[in-house]
Amino acid sequence: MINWRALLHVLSFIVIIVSLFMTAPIVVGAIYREWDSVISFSLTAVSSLTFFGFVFHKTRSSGRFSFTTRDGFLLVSLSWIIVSAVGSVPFVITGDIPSYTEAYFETMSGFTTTGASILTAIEELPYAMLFWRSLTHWLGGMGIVVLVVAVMPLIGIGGMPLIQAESPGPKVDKIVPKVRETAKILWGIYIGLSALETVLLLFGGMNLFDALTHTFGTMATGGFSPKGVSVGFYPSPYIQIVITIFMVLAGVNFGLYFTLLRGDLKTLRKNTELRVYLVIFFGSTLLVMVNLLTSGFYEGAGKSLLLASFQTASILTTTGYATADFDLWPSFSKAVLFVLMFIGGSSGSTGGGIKVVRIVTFFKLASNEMKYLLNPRGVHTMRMNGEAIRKDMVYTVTGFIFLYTGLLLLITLAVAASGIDLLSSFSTALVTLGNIGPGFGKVGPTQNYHFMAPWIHWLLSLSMMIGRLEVYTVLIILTPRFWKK
Amino acid sequence: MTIVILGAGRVGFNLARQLISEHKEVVVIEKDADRARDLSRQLDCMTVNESGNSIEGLKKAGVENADFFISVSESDEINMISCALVSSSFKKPITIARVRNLDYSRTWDQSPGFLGINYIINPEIEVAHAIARAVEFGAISSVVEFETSNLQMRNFQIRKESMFSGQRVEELRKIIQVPFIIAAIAREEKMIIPEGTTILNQGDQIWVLAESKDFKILLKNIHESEKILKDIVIVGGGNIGMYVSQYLLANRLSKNWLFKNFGHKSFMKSKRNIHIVESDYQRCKELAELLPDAQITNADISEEHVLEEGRFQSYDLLIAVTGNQELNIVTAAYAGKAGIPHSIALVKKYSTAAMALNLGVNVAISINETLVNSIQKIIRRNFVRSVYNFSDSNLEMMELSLENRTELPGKKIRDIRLPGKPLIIMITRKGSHIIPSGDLILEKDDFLMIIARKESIQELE
Repeated sequence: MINWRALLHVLSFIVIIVSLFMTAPIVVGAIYREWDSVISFSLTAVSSLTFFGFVFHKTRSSGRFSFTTRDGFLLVSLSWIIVSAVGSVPFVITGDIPSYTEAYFETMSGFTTTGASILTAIEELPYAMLFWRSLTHWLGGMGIVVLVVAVMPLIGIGGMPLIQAESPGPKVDKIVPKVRETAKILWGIYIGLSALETVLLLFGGMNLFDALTHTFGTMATGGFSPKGVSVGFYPSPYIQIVITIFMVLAGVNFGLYFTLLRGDLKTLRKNTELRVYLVIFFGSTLLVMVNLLTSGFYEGAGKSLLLASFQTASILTTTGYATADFDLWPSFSKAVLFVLMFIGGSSGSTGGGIKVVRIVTFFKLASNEMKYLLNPRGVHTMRMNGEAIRKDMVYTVTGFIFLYTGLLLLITLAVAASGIDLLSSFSTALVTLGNIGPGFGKVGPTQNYHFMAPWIHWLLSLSMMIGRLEVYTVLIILTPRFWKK
Repeated sequence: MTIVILGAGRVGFNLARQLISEHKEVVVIEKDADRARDLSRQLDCMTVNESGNSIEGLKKAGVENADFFISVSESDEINMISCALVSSSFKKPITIARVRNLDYSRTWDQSPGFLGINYIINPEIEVAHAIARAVEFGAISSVVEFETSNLQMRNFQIRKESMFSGQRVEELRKIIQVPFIIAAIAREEKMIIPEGTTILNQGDQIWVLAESKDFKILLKNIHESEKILKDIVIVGGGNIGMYVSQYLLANRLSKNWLFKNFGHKSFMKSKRNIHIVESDYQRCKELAELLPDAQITNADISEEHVLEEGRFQSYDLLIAVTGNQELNIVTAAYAGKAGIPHSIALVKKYSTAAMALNLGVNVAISINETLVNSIQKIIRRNFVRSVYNFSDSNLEMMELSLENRTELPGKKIRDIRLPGKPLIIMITRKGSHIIPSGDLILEKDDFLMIIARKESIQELE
């Protein structure tokens, strides 16, 4: 049975936390004297706090809550739907995004750290709205539910299924014995890295507003920028390099930073995913750079390297920032980026996509099969981080990649049905499911999603959520078996 | 406090669950991947999928910074070797090994510092000792003693004819002349912390705290009596049955006595008659050799008429300690019908123990509970805080110092409001122990022994 009382209690707590974060755009609005926005956010926050505060109060009980894996799937999916519903209200009240459909798309794109936007003229938005847009990235990046597990003392053992349902990657490893401590450490590292990036960006001459919003977009691998031309607005190589480095850092499993802090370099060196991730990043950067140079697209190796590394990091980690319109690049470079869109960040990072660990597992599976073909009686094992991979892990990964590809094709079909060309349709599916943001064709880095039909917006909102919650969490509650007693 | 447990078997699992509920950080090392995964799904602890007999694997679990290393895997040898590894490589952890083999336990007992193991827990001896102690106190209840005091806590089931049934707690305390306190009530699988106005029902299981000498009077009122049990039949001649016989024949209650004296012939005539019923003939021969003072019968208790044929009706007590817990319960429950007034059954889980009591078994000793409590006693000896667990329930007995609580001294107990409504059952004042009444005024240096719900413990602290 689903424990509705406990579920509603924690759900309302999650919405309350997010509503409290609306104080940030209120402060920003007050500083820039945008009273419309201040009123809009205050109105939303107060009514949401009243309503969900009431639900929270009504559903409290004396004991601790414990959630099964099943409750976890439902709670996490519901909370993402509701949080986006609440978070999109301020846009509609001020009329900055008049259509609720588009506001919902924008907010879901924020929380899922996709970075796909329906805005045609970003700079016309009030600062408060731009700040909120970026803040949704930052909250969704490390995970709202993970944050709640860290701060809500009532969730005991039940925290694990919740984190499991929200976190990127096939399996979650605790880094310390208690779930709550684990969640606290992960958020602590996240906040620490964010603070560091903000300071470094301030040194580069950004103002505090831009530094914060860009940090939110980078650390969460989101991609919303308060500038219409994204990070390309800043010609300073320093700023671009800082953002490149932090995008790459955000695509690494955050648990590894804890290993690093503990001084355990051996485990770090043995980590297969980290190694492969870095090889992919540097290899792709090199390929793109050489291609840009030989085709004479940019003058000088320095500029080519700068732009190649930025775009590679942005696409690989599924951030979606741009310093160049890569849709105009020579087709080999475009192809490299296209391939990267399938990979994504590491498990346990803030990045989206299929995740490096799954790609590695799949590769090992294929090479294992070849070993068996050559030597049918041989006994071979697949290894990851120096240890044998468990069979059920391979099954989970296989199932995931099948579902992911299946969904990609389905969404492509649906988008194409609305009359959009094949390349744009496919890349739309790819960049929403992978939480990347900009794609090719009509959804390229200088374009936006405004031209699409409302039902496509709703479909893509769902696609972004399915991608962020790693397919299984959302799909499982759509199966009849889930609701059977 | 961080505790590393090696082995996620039944004991490891229960121990981990108990410790986690006390807010301790627990890391479990388990070599079976499926079991490790199951455990991490059910409990809020870290699991490490390692065999645990290598320094590398132990390091992965963070043993070097742990306060305790408890090895409770299936194998004695792995338990001992891993404790030896831990204590030879790391200074901090206190090591506890579960060791079944009596020869190993004796070696450890005789040569201090053996393999660097700080404590050895022998499950069979722990259980045998608990049974022997229950017999000593009349086989009507299990007994908890408090070190350094003459207070005891025992639990009883309230029978129909008892004057406790249908009475209010405060009335009872007025009627009965000796000081006592009812610490907890188990009613239909639920644990209740009693208040003055709580009414006791027939069938309730109650935990009573009083001075050991006063229990005679209390027992008379509860309608039980503490008889000396002379003629005892033990069903099951396994190690536990054998150890129980040894304790009872020698009439010794020190746990470690057995390590030194096992197998030695005693020259004193025992005051008890012990009769062991064992189904395996070969084992019977061995027992006859090891326990010359006991009578051994080769029979299968599950066959009909064994109890009747053996003329066991005149016996005072039956102890069922075969390896089959269902058989133990049935045999012990049947003993009453066959005319044996008292019975003790050995069970595995605590929940089965409650079931056995409902079937009319006088005392049910649970292996897991005994073992987990023994290990916890060791942990507490080093870090005193919690004293006794009502096992599967959500109640816990713990000590609370008044040193930093300026709001409490000078107040009467009945005026104190603490979170979660805990019950103060004992006050330690200048070395003596007091069973409090509502009018007692607290003093600055008092230690309170309280019973509270587990979830309110953090708030209390």
